[in-house]
Amino acid sequence: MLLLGAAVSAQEPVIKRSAPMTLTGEIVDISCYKSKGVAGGTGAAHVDCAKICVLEKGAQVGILSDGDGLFKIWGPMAASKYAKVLPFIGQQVEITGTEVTLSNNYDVRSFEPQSIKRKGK
Amino acid sequence: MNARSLVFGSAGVFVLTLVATPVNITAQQNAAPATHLTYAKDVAPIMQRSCQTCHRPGTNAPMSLLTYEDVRPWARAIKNKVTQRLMPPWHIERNVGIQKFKDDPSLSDAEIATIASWVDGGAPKGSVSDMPAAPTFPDDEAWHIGTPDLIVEIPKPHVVPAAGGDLWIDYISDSNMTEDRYLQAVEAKPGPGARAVVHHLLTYLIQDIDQDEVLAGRLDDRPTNNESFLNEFAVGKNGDILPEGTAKLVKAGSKIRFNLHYHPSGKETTDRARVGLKFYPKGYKPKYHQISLQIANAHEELDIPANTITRHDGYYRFSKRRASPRSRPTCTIAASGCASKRSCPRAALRR
Repeated sequence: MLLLGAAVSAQEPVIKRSAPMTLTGEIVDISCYKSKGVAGGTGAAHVDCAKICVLEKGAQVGILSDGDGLFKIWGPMAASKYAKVLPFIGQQVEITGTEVTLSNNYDVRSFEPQSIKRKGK
Repeated sequence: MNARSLVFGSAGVFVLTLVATPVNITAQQNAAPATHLTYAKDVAPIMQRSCQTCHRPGTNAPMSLLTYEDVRPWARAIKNKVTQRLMPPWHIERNVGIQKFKDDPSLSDAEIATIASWVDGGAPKGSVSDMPAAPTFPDDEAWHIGTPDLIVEIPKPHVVPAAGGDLWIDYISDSNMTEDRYLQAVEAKPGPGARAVVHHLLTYLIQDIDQDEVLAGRLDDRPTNNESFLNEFAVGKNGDILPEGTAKLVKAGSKIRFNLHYHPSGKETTDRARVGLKFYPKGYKPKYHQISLQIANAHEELDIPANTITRHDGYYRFSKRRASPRSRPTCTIAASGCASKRSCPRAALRR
């Protein structure tokens, strides 16, 4: 399991933070998921494409959770083009952290992970 | 949650009510046993009727809900939204005034209970043989009003970056109209391939007007009397077709103001929003002359302190005055954020 400490982030201000929680689901490239849906924009077959989108086109990464929908990965794990998260793209994972409500944000929900691991590991 | 209610009083008073009170319904009412409910048989028909028009690839909805596989990751979120009546968006007060609307996507209490029970029962897919046929959707490039006589675009392509904040921006374009014409139908829409980044767009007609075209007591934010509301695009909305005999006058030299709300979609996208205008034949004399008033800001100040629940009511009273001999004005109310536009109540027409 990967553990991250607090880190400085130049992202949107947080106006609300949930209690610690664990999400299970698949790490996805948000833009492809939103434009193509589950069948065309997620899964093992989409991993290489997603990595290109994230590394070369600045696509955002999220977790498509089991029941609560999509959360954008926010905070230190979003740094350096999601370097800590990208190895898990297309995989089922468990992430523990807090949901954050961002100021002036009309997008999907955001989640600041503290740890991430493959589901069942 | 916020619920916006449109209420028409018997005295011709248009009442715009903003209520910020939580609404929950008892989801278990009238529900079949949870173990019997499946997506294919019980939930898919509801999703097709009330959700998929907006929630499909290529729209600005944050997720597609076309298939079971698309829906399943959102099961609890869907239950949460529908039981609070936040989705599908339908802001008509359920206990007051007109209740029957064409293409009403709102859910009955029984439908909400079905979704909630299905989620509580583990959100099973069920038998593929029970799955209804996939619906077909209109071509986004098709004009619902028929082929326009005139299409006016924003003056230059607008590039929406892959990521960033939302943007509200105005563009003004010449209509290139060289003669006055009566408008029969109007439809605004994003440019080809840009629906995912256009949250909504409003269009306004800018032109010189006569004194009898001025609506008294205007509450919206138009800078001058020369500007009137024309049409709105938002997901799920089509064009506006005026009833036979009713027309809006579009004058030579008029301009169109586009007010756009862009939302980055994760992919750089270029938009060239446009509005299509369809006219009555030359020489047509309408019985009714439509002037549109957008009642968007019924409050001079709307101050909602953080983390509070407040209620704000706005009222607009139509003044009574005689119509000019040359035409009988009608009016259309377009409340910002409202899913539909409809004619004024009879009382309001006695101007």
